[in-house]
Amino acid sequence: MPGFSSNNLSMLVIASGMISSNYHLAVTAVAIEISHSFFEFLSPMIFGIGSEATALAVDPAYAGITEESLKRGMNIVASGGLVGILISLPLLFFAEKIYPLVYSSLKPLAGWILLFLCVYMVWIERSWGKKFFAVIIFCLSGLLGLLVKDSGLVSPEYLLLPVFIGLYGFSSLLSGRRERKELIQDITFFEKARAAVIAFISSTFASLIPGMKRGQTSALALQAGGVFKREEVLFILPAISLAFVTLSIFVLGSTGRVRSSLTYDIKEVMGEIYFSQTVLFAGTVAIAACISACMLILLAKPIGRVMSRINGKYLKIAGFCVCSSLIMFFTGIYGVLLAFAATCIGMLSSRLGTRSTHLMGVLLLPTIVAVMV
Amino acid sequence: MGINLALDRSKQITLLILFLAIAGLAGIYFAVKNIKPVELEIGAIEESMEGRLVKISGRIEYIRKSKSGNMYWTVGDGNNITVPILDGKLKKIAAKRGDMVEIVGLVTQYNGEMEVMPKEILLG
Repeated sequence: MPGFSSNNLSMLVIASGMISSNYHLAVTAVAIEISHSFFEFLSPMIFGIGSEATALAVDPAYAGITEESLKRGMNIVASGGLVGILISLPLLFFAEKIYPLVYSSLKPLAGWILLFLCVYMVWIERSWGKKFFAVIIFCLSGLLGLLVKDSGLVSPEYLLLPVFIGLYGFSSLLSGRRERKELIQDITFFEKARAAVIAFISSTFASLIPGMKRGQTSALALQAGGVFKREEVLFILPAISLAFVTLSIFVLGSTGRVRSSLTYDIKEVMGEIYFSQTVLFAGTVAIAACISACMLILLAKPIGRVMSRINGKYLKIAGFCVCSSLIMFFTGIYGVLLAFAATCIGMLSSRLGTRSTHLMGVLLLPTIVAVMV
Repeated sequence: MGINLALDRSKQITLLILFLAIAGLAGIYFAVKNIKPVELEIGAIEESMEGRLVKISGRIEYIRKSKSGNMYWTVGDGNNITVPILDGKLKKIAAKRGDMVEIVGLVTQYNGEMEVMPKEILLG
C-alpha cells in the first residue's frame, strides 16, 4: 500500500502486546523492515507510486498490469534483494574494526564527494541542452527539499510522503510518461554481476556518509554507474535498498551511529547495542530476506492474475484517490501544497525529457548543505 | 504549419508547468515564513508534538559543550528540556547559565528524550 511504512506496522505489533522484551521487539523490527524492503516494490509496479527507496522504480516497473510482467518484475526484485543481502553480510566480519576508522576519516570529505557525484550526474548527460535541463530539475527539486526540511510545515515522519508521491507518482499519472507496453525481460548473468558490484560499492559508501539514505544512493548509483536498462534498474534498486538497511545495522553496532529509521528504532528500544548483538540481527536479516524473497516469488503469479483482471484506468484512479487521501489525512493542507509543487517539478522533468534520477535533488541538495555548512 | 503550432503548444504547456512549479515553491516559502509557533510551557511538550514549531521561554540551567564544538543547553521553567545548539550562527550567541531565553524551534526527539531544535533565540 503506497505511503504505508514498516514503522506503521511495527507500531501495530507493539500495540498488539504480542512482544514483551525490548530485544524481541528490535529483532521483530529488523524482520519487518527487511520484509517491507522487498514488498514495497509492489506499489510502483501496481499503482505506479513509489516511496523514497522505490521512487526510481516507478518508470521501469510500471508496464501495465499483466500477469507475466508482474511475475517477471517481482522475480527480478526478489533476486536483486537477495543479492543485496549477500553482498552486505560478509562485511559483518570487517565492520567492527574498519567502520569506526573509515567513518571518521570520510566524514570531513563527505560533502565534497557528494557534490562531485552530483556534478558528475549532470555532466554525463549527452547534450548541453540535456545538461542544462538536468541542472534546472536538480535545482528546483533541491530547492523544494531545502524549503521543507526542518520547516515545521509537516511532521518529519510524513514529510517525504507528499514529496515523493508528487515527484514520482502524480506527475507520471498526469503526464502519462510511463505508458510502456513491452514485457519486462529476463536479466543476464553479466548484468546481474555488474549491478551487484555497483550496489555493493554504492551502499557501502552510502552507509558511511552522514545524511545519505537509500533514495540518494540509488540515484547516484544509477546515474554514475550508467544503469539505464529497466531490468537492471529493477534489480539494482532492491539490492541497494536491502544492502543499505543491512549495513546501517552494522554501522550502528560498530560506531553507534544511526543511519536509517530502522537503526533509530533499534537504538530507541535497546539504548546501547553491542557488536555481538549485531551478529544476531544479521542472522535475522538473512532469514527474513530468504522468507520474503520466496513469498514475493510465490505471490507474484496470484497477485498478477488478480491485478490483470482490473482495468488499468481504475487502478490509476484508485492509486490517485488513495494517495490524495493519505496526503490529506497525514499532512493536511500544507502536504497538499508540497504535493502540488512536487507534481509540477516531476511533470516538468518529464516534459524536458530529463532522467528521473535528477529529481532526487530533493534529498541530495539538503544533504550536501547539511554536511558542508 | 500544423507541426509548428503543435510544438508551440507543447512549449507553452512546459512553460506553464514551470510557472506552476515556481509558484508552488513560492507558496511553500511564504507558508514556511508565516507559520506561527505554538507558544507553550516546557512541561507541555510531548512525543506527539514532534516536528511542530513551538516557542518556549525559560532560564538556562546548564550548558554542556561537546568535543566537536556543539553546545547543549538545559532550559527550564520548572520543567527542563534540552536545546542543542548545532547551528553556527546560534553558537555565537553569548549566553550563560542563569540567562532568560525565548526559543523558537522544532520539537524533536533524541535517545527517547524530547528536545527543541532552535531556529531563533532571543536573550533577555
